[in-house]
Amino acid sequence: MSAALHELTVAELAAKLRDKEVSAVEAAQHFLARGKQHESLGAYLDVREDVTLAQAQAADARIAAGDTAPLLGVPIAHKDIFVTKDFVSTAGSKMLAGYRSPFNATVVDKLSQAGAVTLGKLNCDEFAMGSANENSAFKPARNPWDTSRIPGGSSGGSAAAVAARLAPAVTGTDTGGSIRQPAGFCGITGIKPTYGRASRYGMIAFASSLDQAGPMARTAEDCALLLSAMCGPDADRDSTSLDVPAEDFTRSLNDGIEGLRIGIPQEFFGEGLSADVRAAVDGALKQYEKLGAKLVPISLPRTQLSIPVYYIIAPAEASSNLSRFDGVKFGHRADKYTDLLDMYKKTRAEGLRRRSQAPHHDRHLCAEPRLLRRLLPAGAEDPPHDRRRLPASLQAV
Amino acid sequence: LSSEESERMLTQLNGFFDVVEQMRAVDTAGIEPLSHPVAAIQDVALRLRDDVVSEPNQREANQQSAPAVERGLFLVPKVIE
Repeated sequence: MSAALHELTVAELAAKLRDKEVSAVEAAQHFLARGKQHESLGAYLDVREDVTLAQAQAADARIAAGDTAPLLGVPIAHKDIFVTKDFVSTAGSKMLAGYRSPFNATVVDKLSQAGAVTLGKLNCDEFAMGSANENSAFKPARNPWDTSRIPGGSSGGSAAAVAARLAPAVTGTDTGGSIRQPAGFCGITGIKPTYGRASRYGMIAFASSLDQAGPMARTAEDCALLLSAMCGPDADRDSTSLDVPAEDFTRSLNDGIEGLRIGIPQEFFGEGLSADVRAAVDGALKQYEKLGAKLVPISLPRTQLSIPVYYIIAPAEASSNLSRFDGVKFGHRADKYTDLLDMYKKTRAEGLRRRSQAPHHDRHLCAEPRLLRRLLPAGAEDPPHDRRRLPASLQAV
Repeated sequence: LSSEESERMLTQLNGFFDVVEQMRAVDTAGIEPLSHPVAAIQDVALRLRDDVVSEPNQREANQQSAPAVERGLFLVPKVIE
C-alpha cells in the first residue's frame, strides 16, 4: 500500500492519517526515501531525517491524542527562502551557506501548528532572483518531466519536488512570477495570494513590496488546504500583513462556476504570445464556458507599464535588502581583506554570485533579471554600511 | 568584469534606460504614492504597536551564525587609525 502514498493528494493523505491507516512516521519515511532516490533532480538543498522523523513522531502523538489539525502528519517542504531553526536557510546563495536561523518564519510555524511535517528545504534561484533555477549557487533543479529542461523559477525546487511526487505539497514565494511560472513549467498548481495575506516574517527578502508566500501542490484543493493554514494577520511581526482573518479557502471548491464572469484582458493576448500557449489558454477558456462561466472581454490598458515598473521597483528594493549581507552579523565573510571597505567588497564579490555568465531565457513577463544587473541601476556599488564608528577598545580583527 | 561581460552589461544598462524612458512618457500628475501595495484597491490602515519591549534577549542564538564574535560583540576590521 505504501508504494502509492506519493500518488495521494494532501486531502487524501490527511484523511488516511486521521483514520490511522498510515502513520505520520510511515509517510515521512516514504517521502524521505523518494527524495533520496531522486536526488539527481536537485530539488532539495537540505534534508535532515532525524528532524523530520521527530516531527512525524510528534504528529503521531497529536493524532493519538485526538488532535484534528487539518494537515496533521502531512509531509511538506519549504522553499529555502523561509528561515527555519532546524534546517539550514540559504536562499540558494553562498552568502548564507550553512546559515542557521534563530527563529522560524511565521509561515513555517503556522504550517507546523496545522500539523505538517517538514521534509527539508527546497532549491531556488539565489535570493529568489531568476526564473529557471539555474541561478542557485549550489546546483540547478531539473524538470522531472524531462530532466534536460528547467523546472522554471525561482521556486524551481518546489515545483520539481511536487511534480516528481517527492512531497505532496510545498511552499514557494512569488515576486514577479516565481510560484506561478514554475508551477506552469512543471504541470502543477500554485497560487500567489494577495499581498499581505501571508506573513513575510522570516522570508528572506527580495523585493519587499512584491514578495508573497504561497502554496504549490498538484490540485487546487491541496493549495486551498495549505493556503488556509498559511494566511492570517501577523500584526506584531510583519507591518504589511493585512488585518484580514484566516479563512477556509476550501469552502467554495465544489460550488461550480455556473454564472461566474471571467474577465479576459485583451492585452494579455497580444504580441509575443506563442501559438501553443494561446491554444492551451483558449482550450481552458472553452472548458470554463462549458461549465457555465461567462467570458467577458476587458481591457487593462496600463498592463504594458507593469514590466518597466517592475524593473524599477524590484531592483531598487533588492538593492536595499541585499545590503544586509556585508559579512558582519551573519553569513559569509571573506578570509582575507585589508580594511572594512575591502572586507565588504571581497565578502560580497565571493558571496553573491556573478550572473552575467548565466543563460538568457528569462527576458519576458515572468523574467527576473540577474543579480548584478539588478543591483547596479539601484546603486549598490556603495558600501553596504556606513563606516562603523566604534571606540578603539571594541575594534578587532 | 571581463570585457565580454562589461559589453553585455553595457547593453543591459542601456536597455534599462529605455525602460526608464517608457515610464517618463506617462503622466503621473495627481497620483498619490501608495502606503501599502494593496492600498490601490482597498483601504489599508497602517498599524502602530505599543512601544514596549517584545523580544527576549537572544544574543547567543542571534550570534551563532556571525563570522566573528568576541565577548558578545560583533567584530569588524579596525576603522579608526
